[in-house]
Amino acid sequence: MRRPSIVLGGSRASWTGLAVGAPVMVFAIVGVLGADEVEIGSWGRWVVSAALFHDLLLVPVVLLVGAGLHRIVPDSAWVPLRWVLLTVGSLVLIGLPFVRRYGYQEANPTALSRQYGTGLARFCAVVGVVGIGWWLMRRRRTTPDGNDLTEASAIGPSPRTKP
Amino acid sequence: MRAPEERFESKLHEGRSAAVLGIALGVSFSVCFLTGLWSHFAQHPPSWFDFPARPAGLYRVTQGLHVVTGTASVPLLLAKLWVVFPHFVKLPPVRSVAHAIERLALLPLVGGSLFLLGTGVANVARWYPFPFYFPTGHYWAAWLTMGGLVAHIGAKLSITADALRRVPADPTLVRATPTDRRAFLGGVAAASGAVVLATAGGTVAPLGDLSVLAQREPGVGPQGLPINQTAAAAGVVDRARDRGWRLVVDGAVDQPLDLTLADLRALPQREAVLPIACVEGWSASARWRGVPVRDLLALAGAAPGAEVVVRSLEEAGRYGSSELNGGQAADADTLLALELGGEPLHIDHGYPARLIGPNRPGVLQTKWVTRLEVR
Repeated sequence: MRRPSIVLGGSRASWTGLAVGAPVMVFAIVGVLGADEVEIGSWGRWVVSAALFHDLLLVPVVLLVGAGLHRIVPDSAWVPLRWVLLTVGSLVLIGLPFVRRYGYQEANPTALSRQYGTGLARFCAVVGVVGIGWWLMRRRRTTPDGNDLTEASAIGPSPRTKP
Repeated sequence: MRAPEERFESKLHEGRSAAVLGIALGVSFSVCFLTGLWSHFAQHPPSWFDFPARPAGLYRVTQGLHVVTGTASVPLLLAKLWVVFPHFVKLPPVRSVAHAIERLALLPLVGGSLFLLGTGVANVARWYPFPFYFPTGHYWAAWLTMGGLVAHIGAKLSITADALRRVPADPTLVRATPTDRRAFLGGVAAASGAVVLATAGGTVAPLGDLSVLAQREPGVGPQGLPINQTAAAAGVVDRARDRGWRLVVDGAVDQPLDLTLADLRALPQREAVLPIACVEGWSASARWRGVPVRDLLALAGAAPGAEVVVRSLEEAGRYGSSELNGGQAADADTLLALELGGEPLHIDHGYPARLIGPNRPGVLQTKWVTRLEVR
């Protein structure tokens, strides 16, 4: 059986995608070059910095935190905890400028009018409670030696099962 | 010694999870792009396209969808990038010229995606730490990202299709157990749902209390309606309250008009329930009452289908005027509103007169109107 290629050049679709996508990217660059209120250098720095921030800072931190927690939490808690971390992490990233009220203007109290810190904390607490509920449900489904019964009945023991 | 990519223990760093998340992101980014393009056309209509006046609430839906899908994409994108992260550290980083091109095309895709979501969230929070005009920078980054996305879809089409087969030709594409994968992908979907719940209340009123990160609270504002710019900030308070205020209708008309507020109130009035739909995603409906613009145009003897430039007392600033195309100006519900909710307009809502029309972005619902210039 033919093994599908994972690099460009392995299929016609790869080159078609590049043939369509590259002109669109060039169109964007030309658009920025012709725009009055966007300077290509600062705009490009923000695009590149976003990728660097993610790849060199955010993901390594997430991986380290995940690896550390994975070692100390029980197997049955890991999946709910991972969901809680993703949800709360996303909420904090989105909520930070609201909580800090960077955009608040006293002249217009109808915008950013909520108590964002309190609201976010409550919302995250609810996410945490849902996560704990999920964990308790998973614990009831697992055997004392850590096997997930659903998993075991479907395809055999979980790869994370401790010997 | 293990290769760098082999140090990632989770079996969710696999082709099948990446394929499912990639498809979900492709859909959400496409919806976001198309609704964003729609908003761009509403504000900067190209010569070949007349933005329609109907359905009245269409812009409210499309812009709400734009912000909701963008917000929902945050956990999706973070999860997708986490799943494929081992490829980022794979050695050697480049295996061929073709592979180098593929990797290079990831920079505009990844950087552009993060830029779009980051600046979009900042805009909803009314925070502008970047040294460029948000709509323009965001608009061109969307094109950059979509170009990168198309190139990426082409490069990954065969591997994605294979990863989703029940039995892939490349068995290394499937590493996690179905239960683990379901729990992970279900969790990502639930995380997206949670961030939507936390933010969408400015658009979906029933979520108002749940949406702890919504920019607006339903019902909060003068006359129960939020505002984006006050009269004081626009520097129009004195002129808006001046008893000598006049509405001028001129340009391509037979009989220019110069009307006082009393003159306008004496004309036949029409009532319409229309939303203020902000580009930041929030929207709120209200009952407006005023003189249909088409009646004023008819009174001045403008040609049918004439276009109108609506000018505000706010001379400085980006939104001191807006345009009505022929269809919008002729719509019965495009009003020069004098009342909101049965009361004279609050000055922050545009007293003495403001434009309100169906299917228009809030920034084009010009406040403190002083002139209709017919073309």
